[in-house]
Amino acid sequence: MSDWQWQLGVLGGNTTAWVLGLALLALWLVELRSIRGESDRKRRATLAALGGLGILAVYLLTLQIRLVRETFEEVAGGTGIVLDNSRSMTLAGASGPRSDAVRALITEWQEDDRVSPVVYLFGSSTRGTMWSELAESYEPVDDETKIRDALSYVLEKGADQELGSLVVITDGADASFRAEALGLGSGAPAIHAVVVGGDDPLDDQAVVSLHADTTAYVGVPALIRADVRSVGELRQSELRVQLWHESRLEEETVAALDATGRGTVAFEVTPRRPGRALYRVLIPQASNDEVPQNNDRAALLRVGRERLRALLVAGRPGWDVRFLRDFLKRDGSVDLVSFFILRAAADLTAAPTNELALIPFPTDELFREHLGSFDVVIFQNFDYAPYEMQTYLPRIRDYVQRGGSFVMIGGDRSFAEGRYAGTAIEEILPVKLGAPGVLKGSYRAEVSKQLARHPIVALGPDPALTRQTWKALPALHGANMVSAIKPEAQVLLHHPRARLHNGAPLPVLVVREAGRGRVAAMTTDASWRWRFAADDTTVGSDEYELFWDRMIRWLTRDPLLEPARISTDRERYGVGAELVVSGRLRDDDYRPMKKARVELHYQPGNDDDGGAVVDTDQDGQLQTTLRAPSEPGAYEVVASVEGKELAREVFIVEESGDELADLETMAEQLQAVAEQTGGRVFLGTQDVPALAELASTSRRAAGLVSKEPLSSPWFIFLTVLLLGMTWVLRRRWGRR
Amino acid sequence: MRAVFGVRWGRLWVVLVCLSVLPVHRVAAFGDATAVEIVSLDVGNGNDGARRVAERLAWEVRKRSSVEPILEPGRARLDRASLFRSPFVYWRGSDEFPPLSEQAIEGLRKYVHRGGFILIDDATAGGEGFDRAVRRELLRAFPALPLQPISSDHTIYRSFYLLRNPVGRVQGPGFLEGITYGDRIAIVYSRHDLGGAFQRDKLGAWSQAVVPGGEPQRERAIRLGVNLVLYALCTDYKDDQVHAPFIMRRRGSGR
Repeated sequence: MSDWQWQLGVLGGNTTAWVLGLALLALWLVELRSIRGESDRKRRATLAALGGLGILAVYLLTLQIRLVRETFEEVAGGTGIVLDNSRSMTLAGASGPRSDAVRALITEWQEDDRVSPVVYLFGSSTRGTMWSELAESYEPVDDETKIRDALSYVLEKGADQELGSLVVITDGADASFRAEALGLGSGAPAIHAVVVGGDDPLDDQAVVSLHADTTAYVGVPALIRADVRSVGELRQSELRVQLWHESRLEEETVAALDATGRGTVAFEVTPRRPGRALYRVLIPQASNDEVPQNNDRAALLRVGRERLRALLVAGRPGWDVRFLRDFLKRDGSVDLVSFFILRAAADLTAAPTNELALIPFPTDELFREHLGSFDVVIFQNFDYAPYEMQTYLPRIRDYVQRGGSFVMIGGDRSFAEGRYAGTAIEEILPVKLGAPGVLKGSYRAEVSKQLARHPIVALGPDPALTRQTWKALPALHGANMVSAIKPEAQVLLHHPRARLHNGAPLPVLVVREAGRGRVAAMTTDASWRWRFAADDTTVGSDEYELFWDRMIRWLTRDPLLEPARISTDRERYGVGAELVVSGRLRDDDYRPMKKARVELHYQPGNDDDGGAVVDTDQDGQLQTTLRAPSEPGAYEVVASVEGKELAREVFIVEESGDELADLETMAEQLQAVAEQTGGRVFLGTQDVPALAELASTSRRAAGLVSKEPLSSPWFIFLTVLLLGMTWVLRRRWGRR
Repeated sequence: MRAVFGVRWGRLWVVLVCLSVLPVHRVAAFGDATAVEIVSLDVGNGNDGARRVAERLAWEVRKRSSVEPILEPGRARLDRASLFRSPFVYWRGSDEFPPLSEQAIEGLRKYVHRGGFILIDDATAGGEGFDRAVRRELLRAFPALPLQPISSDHTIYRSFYLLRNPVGRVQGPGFLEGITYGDRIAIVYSRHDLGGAFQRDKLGAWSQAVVPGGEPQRERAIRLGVNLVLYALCTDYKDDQVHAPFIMRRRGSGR
C-alpha cells in the first residue's frame, strides 16, 4: 500500500479543505452553543456527538478524497544493430571475407521475424539503413572506422527509440577506440559485440603510419618515420623496410619489433630540388601476407628552399639600392646575393687593383651556372650592355618563363635607358619600352581603383583605406617613360598626371605573368623615400617594408598571396574514399568570385574518377565532398572556372589508407563495453545466437489506478442517517 | 697641320683627348631629389667649410667610383625637415657649441632610426671643445649607444679601397669611433680632420699640408672618405661571402 497516494478532488484543493473545515468547525461550535441549555447531560452529549459526526461526514464527502497509484508493465525492448561499413570488413582471413560472414549472419537473423531491429551503418560517419535489405545491400566502402562516434550517435538516438539492446558488428579495427570514452551510464541498453574475424586474426605485415614534415627544404635533411607491424603467422622480431623515391631504392633498414609485433624505423632524406617529392616506405611482401595492400605507403613532401634566394644586381650604389638591400638582408627568409657595379670603365680609382676591394662581375657564374637557383632576380637601375650580357638576356627570359621571377626597378640605367628595348628582357616585361625618356618632378603614386585588393599594394584593410594610405606616403621623384602597357599586365600604381601616348596613366608599378613566372616593372627609383622621408604626418617606414615583402612573396608565389586557394581535409586517402575540398576563389584582381561555377577534377585523372561542379558563395568560398580516385598514387585536385585553372592542391591515394593500415582488433575494449552494460561478446560469427536472444525487455509505465472510498453509497447513507438522527432527536427533545 | 674652316686639327685633337679622359659627368636622370647628396650639417655656429669639404668629397667619389653624387650639395639642420633630404650628413666642426635643442636631438634620433648616416669630422684633430660637445650631444640622443672604436677589420676599411687604418690631415688616433644602430654603423666620428685633407683653394691647390705623411697620407685620407660614402651606400655589402676570397687574397698579397 505504500505505492498509494491520496489526492483531494474538491475544487481549490488544500485551500478549500482548510476553509471548509474551519467553517464546519464553526458550525459545530454554534450547534454546541445551541444545546447548552439542555439539562440532560446524556441528551446533550448525544446531540453534540451526532452533530459532530454528521458535519465530519459532510466534510469528508465534500473533499472527494481519492487514492492514486502508478502501475508499470514489462514489454519487449527495441533492438539496434550497429554494423561496421569500413573497407577493412572486406578483408579475408582463412575463413573467407569478413563481409560474407556478416551477410550470412544477417540472413540468418532475418529468417526469425520475432525481432525487427533498427539498423545503423558506421564508418567515417553513422547513418541509418533498412533492415529488410541489409544482407543484399551490405558493401563496406568507408575509409575509417569510428566505433566511439557510432555508439555515441546511436545511444543518443536510442534514448528516443527505447532501445533495450544494441548489437555491434565490427572487426574492431579502430586503434583509437576506448570503452571509457563512451561514458556509459546505468540506463544504457545492453551492448553486445560480434567481433568479425575475432576468431581468425589476419596474418599481416603493415606500414601502420608515416610521419613526415609536409614541408622540407632543398639540401636540408628531413625525417620520415614509419610505424610498422607484423602479426599473426607473420609475427617476428625483425622486419625489413625499404625507402623508395622516384622508382629508386634509396635505403633499406631492419626494424626491431617489440612483443606486440610493432616497431618504428626512421629514414633521413635530403631533397635535391624544389617541388613535390614522393617517397614510399615499403615492406617486401611475404607470400602468406593476407593484406598486401598495407605494405606500401607514401609520403609527399613539399620541397621548398629554406630561404628564398634573391639576386640583386645594381648598376651603381644609390639610396634606393641601399634601402632595398638592407631590407632584404634583414629578412631572415631571404638568402640574398647582391652585386653592385662600384666602378665603371671611366672611373679613375687612382689605385692598383690590389688596393681595391673590387671583384670582377661574375656574369657567367650568375646567369649561366646559378640562375636557376634563384627565386627572384632584381635588376635595379642596371644596364646590361657594358658587361657584355647580351647572351644572358634570353637565359633570364627562359628562366622566368620556366617559373622564375624578375623585377626591374627604375633609374637612369633601367628600361629604355638601359637599352632593353627589343631584347629578350622586354619580352617578359609587362610594358613596352619604346624610345628612352624620363619624367622628372615629384608626385604621389596612385593605386589603381580596380586593383586596390592586390596584395602588393593593399596596404590597408580595405580598398578605401589602401588608397588613403597611398595618398599619405612620401612623394616619389621621377619615373622611366614606357611606350605602352602589355595587354595582360596589371597596372598597380600609376602617375597621377602623366599620360602615355594612348592617354593611359603613366605606370609606376606593373606586374604580369610571363609563362610560368612573374615579372614586375617599377619605373621609379625612389621607393626608399617611403622609409626615410616619412615625417610625423605621413605614413611610410612600415609601408615600405610591407610593400617590398609583399612584392617578393607575390613574385615567388607565396600561397598565402595567391588569389585562389583550395585545400583538402586530409593529405592521404584510401581508394574511393570521401574527400572534402574547400577553398576561396578570387579573380586576378583579387575580388571574390561570387556565385561562380567551379569545376573540380583530378590530375592525373580520367572520366571515371570523381569530379564535381560546385558554386561559390557570396564571399567566393566553396566546399564539397568528392570520391578519391580509384587508383593509388599522388594526385592534385584542380579548380577551374570557365576552363581557366585557378588553384590546385595535392593529395595521396593509397591502396590501404589509414583504414587498412592498422588492423588490430580492439576486442578487449568491446569486452569492457559489454561488461558495463550486461552485454555479451562473440569472437567470430559462428557462435552468435538468434537475434531474439540478444533482444531485451524494458519496464514501461502502464497508467494510473485510483479509487474514492468515501464516495460509496454506504458512506452517503451513513451521513444522511447521522444528519437525520440529529434532526429527529433535536425535534423530539424540543430543540430546533 | 693644315687649317680647315680656320681650325687647326692638331690642337682640336688634343682638346678632344683631354675631354675623353675626364670622367663623364652624368646627371642623375631623375633629378637631384633621389640622387646621392652629401649634405653638410649646420648646427648654428658655422660649419668650418663643411660644405666645401662635402663638395670635394662628392667630386672624389664621382671621379673614383660609379656613384654619382650631386657636386653642389646642400645644407641641413637637425631641427628642420631639410635634414631628411639625404641619408648622408657630413658634420664638421672645430669649436665647442651650446647644447642642441630638444627638437634637434629628436631630429638626430629620427634621422638615424630611418636609415640616415652621419660622418662627424673634428677639424681640430685633437682639440677638446668640439669633441666634448659632440660626445655630450650624442650621449643625449643615444644614451644606450655609446661611441665605440671601430675595429680595423670593419667593412668601412674595405668598402671600396683596402685600408688598414684611418688617417686625415693628421695621423690622429689609430681608429675611428662609431655608433652602431641595429646591424650597421650609423654615426662615424673621426678625429683626424678628414676634410682638411680634401680641401683645395680656389686655384685648385691643396689648402692644408698633411702631416706627417705628406701626399701619400692625403691619398689615404681621400680613400677613407670614399670608403665612408660607399659604406653609407652599401653598408656590409663587402661582407658578403662572394667577396671574401678576393679580399683575403689581396690583403695577403703584399699590402
